[in-house]
Amino acid sequence: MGVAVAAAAVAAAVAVEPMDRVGLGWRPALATGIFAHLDEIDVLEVLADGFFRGPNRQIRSLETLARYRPVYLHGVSMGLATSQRASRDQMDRMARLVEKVKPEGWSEHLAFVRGGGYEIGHMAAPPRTERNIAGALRNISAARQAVGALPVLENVATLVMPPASSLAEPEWASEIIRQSGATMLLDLHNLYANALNFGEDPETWLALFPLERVSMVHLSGGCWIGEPGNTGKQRLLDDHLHDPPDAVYGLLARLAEWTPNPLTVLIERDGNFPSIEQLLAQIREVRRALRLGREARGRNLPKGQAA
Amino acid sequence: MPTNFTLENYLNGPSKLVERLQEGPQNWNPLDFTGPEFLVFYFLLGMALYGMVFLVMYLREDRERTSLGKLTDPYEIAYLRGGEKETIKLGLFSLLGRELLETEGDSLKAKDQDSAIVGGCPLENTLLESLREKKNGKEILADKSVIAACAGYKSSLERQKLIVPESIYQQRSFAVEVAAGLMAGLAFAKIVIAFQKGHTNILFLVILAAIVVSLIRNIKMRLFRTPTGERMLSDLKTLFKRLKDQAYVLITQDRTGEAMLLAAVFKIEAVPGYSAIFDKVFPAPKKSSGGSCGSSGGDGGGCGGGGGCGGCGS
Repeated sequence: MGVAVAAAAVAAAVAVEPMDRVGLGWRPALATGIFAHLDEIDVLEVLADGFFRGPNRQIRSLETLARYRPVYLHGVSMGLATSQRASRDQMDRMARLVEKVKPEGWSEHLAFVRGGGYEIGHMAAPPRTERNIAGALRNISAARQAVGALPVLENVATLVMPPASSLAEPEWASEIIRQSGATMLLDLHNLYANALNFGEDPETWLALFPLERVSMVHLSGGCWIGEPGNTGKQRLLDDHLHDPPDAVYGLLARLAEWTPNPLTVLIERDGNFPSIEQLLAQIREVRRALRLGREARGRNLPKGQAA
Repeated sequence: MPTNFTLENYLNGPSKLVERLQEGPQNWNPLDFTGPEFLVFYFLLGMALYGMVFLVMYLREDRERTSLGKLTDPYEIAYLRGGEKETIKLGLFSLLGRELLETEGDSLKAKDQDSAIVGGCPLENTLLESLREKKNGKEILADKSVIAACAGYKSSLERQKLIVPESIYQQRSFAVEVAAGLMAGLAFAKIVIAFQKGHTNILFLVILAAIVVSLIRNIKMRLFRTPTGERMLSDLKTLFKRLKDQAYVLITQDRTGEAMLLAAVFKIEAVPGYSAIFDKVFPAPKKSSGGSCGSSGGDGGGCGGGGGCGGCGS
């Protein structure tokens, strides 16, 4: 009886992880909806690149925004995961923005955006090789020196298996995360899309990532598109224009079950905006998934701990 | 027009003024300056006074580092922007959007006698009570119970050091009126002297005087806010800028709370469908006595906590 009571107490203690937070990507189109419902939003994430060359009053308004809720700056153009040198200009711009806005943290992607003197114009998954890992670690170290803090590093979605890769994505990402000392922003829809697109089970794929290093999570949605060449097959495109699918909430619950870390979960939406009520419903769904995961973690604690 | 009126004459004003000043203090009486010299002098004096009023304002400001607060209540934001008048107009905007008021010419009236039950915020309830009988804008703004219902917003903003206390506002207002009076008086004196000397080319001076005096008097609303309050309002405008024209769309989608945020930050008159109503009910731009921090009695309370007013029942 005493063991059961103690186990229930432990389960209750971990069922609600007080440090889990849920928020939204800040988009101007959502501004009034976010302000009108701040009591349901714990944290905001701002796309940093849009402010790098912005006027002072725009940057100053971010500092005010950070008074309302903790803000994370999210970069998209540094191109850290490359054997080449990442953009020092972008690092300096991020550093200036961080200094002015004083966010809670900043993040970037494990991707490359330029090569051979060409700007790709979007993020691309690099070849997953030891040489790439070495280059990424150099770039992350340079970014840390420039900005004054390590970025949280995000996995990216890809429709194409990066050629010349010798490592699987989880193994490659794990090496970079662990050796750099950074924490990970695990984009669950990117993980889900990559797993489905390349024939993996998403939950099994999830378990291969360095979950002990995950501090932040992105949730977003996408749509199925046809493969080129009329193969009849489809691939899942992570477009940030759709609601997160149910399976992604399931992955979030699993993550909450498997890691003790407090998680900051952000819903990303870049267009085709639903009503703020729908986004708030998604936030509530995220909280429910986190709660389910934490409760499952509590039930699965080793018997020794329960005693 | 006198024969010496040429554009070139006026464009040479600055150099002529410098020459005049170099002649020595005995020639520094501005009422003796020629037209072009006086225009340049008047413009420079006006800008100097404009700058000095701000300097006086911020020198007397409580220099304690005020942390930026968090305004989410649309009524507090409206009060920060335009005092009691704009707060009351926002209340009317909310009630109109929720179809609790009807228009009758230049007046507004509560739609039915039981509307007060569903008003929500203390200000809205007070407005509904006040508008059991139809009233025009002037009458609404003169209603003491409505003004008292705004007191809570004023107190909150003072506590957050986003607006100045009444005593400081009065000091600032006095400085503004003295500066505006000086410029108006100087222009008037010069015009009288010009006519006495047979000069009639006073058009530039009249236009310049009107601009300078208006500029000085129009900063009265800014005197109402502290530098922190000024910044708060400016930053909210920047954050909501993309949605500035969307208030009407939000109302049609029954998102009154969000529409109220936009109307609070920007002016209600800019909302399509409402500009005509407010132009009739509040027909002429008034020199805001509503900005003079009216009566401070009563506890109007706030409209909500960190989640904002949410349209008070929407």
